[in-house]
Amino acid sequence: MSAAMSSGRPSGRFPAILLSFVFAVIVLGPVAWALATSFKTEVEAVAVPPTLWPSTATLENYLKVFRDQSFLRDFWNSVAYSVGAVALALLVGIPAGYAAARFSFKGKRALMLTILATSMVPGVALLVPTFYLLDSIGLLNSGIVVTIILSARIIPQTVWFIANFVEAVPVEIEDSAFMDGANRFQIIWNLILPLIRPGIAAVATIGIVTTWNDYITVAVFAPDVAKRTLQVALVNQVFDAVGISWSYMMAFVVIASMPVILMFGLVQKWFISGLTAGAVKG
Amino acid sequence: MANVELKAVRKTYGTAPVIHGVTVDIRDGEFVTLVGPSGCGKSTLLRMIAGLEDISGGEIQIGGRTVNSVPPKERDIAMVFQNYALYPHMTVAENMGFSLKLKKAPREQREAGVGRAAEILSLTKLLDRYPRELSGGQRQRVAMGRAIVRNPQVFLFDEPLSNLDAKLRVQMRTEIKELHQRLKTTTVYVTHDQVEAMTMADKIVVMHDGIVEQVGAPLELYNHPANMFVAGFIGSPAMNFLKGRCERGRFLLEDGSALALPASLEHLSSDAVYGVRPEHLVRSDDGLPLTVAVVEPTGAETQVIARHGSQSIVCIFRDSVLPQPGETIRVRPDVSRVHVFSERDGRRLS
Repeated sequence: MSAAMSSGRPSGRFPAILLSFVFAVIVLGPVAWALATSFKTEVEAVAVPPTLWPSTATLENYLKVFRDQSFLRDFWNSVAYSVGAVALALLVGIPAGYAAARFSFKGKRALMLTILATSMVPGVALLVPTFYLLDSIGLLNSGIVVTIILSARIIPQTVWFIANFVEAVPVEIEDSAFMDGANRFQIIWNLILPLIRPGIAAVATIGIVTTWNDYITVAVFAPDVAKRTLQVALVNQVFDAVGISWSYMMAFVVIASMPVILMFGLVQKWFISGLTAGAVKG
Repeated sequence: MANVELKAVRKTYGTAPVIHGVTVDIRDGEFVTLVGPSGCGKSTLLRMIAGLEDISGGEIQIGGRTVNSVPPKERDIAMVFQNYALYPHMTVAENMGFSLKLKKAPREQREAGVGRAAEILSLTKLLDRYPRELSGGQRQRVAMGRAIVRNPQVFLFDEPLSNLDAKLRVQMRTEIKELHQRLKTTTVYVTHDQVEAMTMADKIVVMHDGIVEQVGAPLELYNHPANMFVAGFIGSPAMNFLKGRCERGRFLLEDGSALALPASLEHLSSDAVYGVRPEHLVRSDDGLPLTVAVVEPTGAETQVIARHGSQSIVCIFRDSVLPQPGETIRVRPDVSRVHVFSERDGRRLS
């Protein structure tokens, strides 16, 4: 087959390439701008007309962020809340999703739709009542409570995702394991979890992104400075500072985004499809 | 090894009955096939023996022990599934040794068990491969190996060859039969393919709509089918059925043509169905005239699809002279191999 045949007509693909380029500029433009600004001096960052690339790149802004004594604490809080919330969501979501996929019971559909519906309630609508509730029982500023609330936000999608991934695993594999002498727990541990690993990675990534980027939950339910996350700290920079240092803030943004980007890189290989290839005749 | 006894076994899904009181006795070391068309309940019955389906009524005994409420892993049976059901993230060795790992068998014992099964099935060189790296036949052998490793009292096969191509199916059929002759483990084998059932089984259980139509040795079913269903299901191509009436020692077709009846039915006088297998029709100058529609030579024999009035009749001839489409040929049935069935309930009268 010739190269022309295999790649299609280049002129025919031009609109698609152009559209992709426009989208890429829209999505990556601000990211590139933030990255470039983070390496500029403050004078250059606010210069008019603005410069695209730093005339003299500096790491000063990054060093300043790392030197900030509260940074490590805020970073740790972000990690703890996100990882804790996702772990809790998986702990609840995997058994629930498995049950939804494999067991038939009365009202299953209604239950699943209810679970889905809870994720459609805007978080802001629950903010005030939840705040008063937590305040009245003295649970404000609790890291565990914040983790549970964040987890509750991602549990519905976790249950639905896991249920779909489990359904894709042929039930004969489980029958076969039953015959081999496995019990339900052994089947989930030895077969289902390894087989839906790409799904778990996807759900966990989405969960981490959602909870890592959360601002409002932490800001409202854990207003104590010692309990804040990087996102809250970032917003505080804007409002607290007498004069905003844009280059410093962009360095902060880049650092705050880095864990999520790194996580994507790490779990990317689990997204590879076809793990179940060869299990059963397709 | 063990015998398996099914006593009036029933299965209902909600209010819908799917197995209506099946009674079958499978002796120790026997190779029994459950055969029937799709939806007849044969796979459900096998899954009930395995313990993967609850039993709504009756009793299942394995080795003299009632197992109605015994979980699958305690029944000491192994099952091979139609679509292999291998664990895709485990190697061949891990697949085969999984049951021993669950039993917490020592590593040496696991390796010995897997090695022995792999040797029997010529899988030794493939032990480190993953299922996705195997051909269909190799995967099915791994599925069998997984069953052999457990050294069970009973093997259950659920249409294990359906996903293989025709050539491989014949090869695997022989391998399974040889395996049974070697291990002599009681085997229950489900298939919808009557050729598979005939060639492999010591005993065939023909099922239809959740009931057992007939139980018997392959040739017993072929030569003495209990009813029209069994007569039509066993044998390929299927038996020809001609509607008409037994009268004065002859069978009269609707157009008045007469066919000879077996001596035992010469006294019969009633509406009936005349059954004759394609291979039991012979060319004869004084036979029934048929107009040839299609001729299908296969080398060893020739299948001829012909018409007598509106009735389609299939014949198999071994002679090398091929009739032509449109030609009229005359055939008569080998009266000693003819069956006559009740027109009312399909029961065999002869």
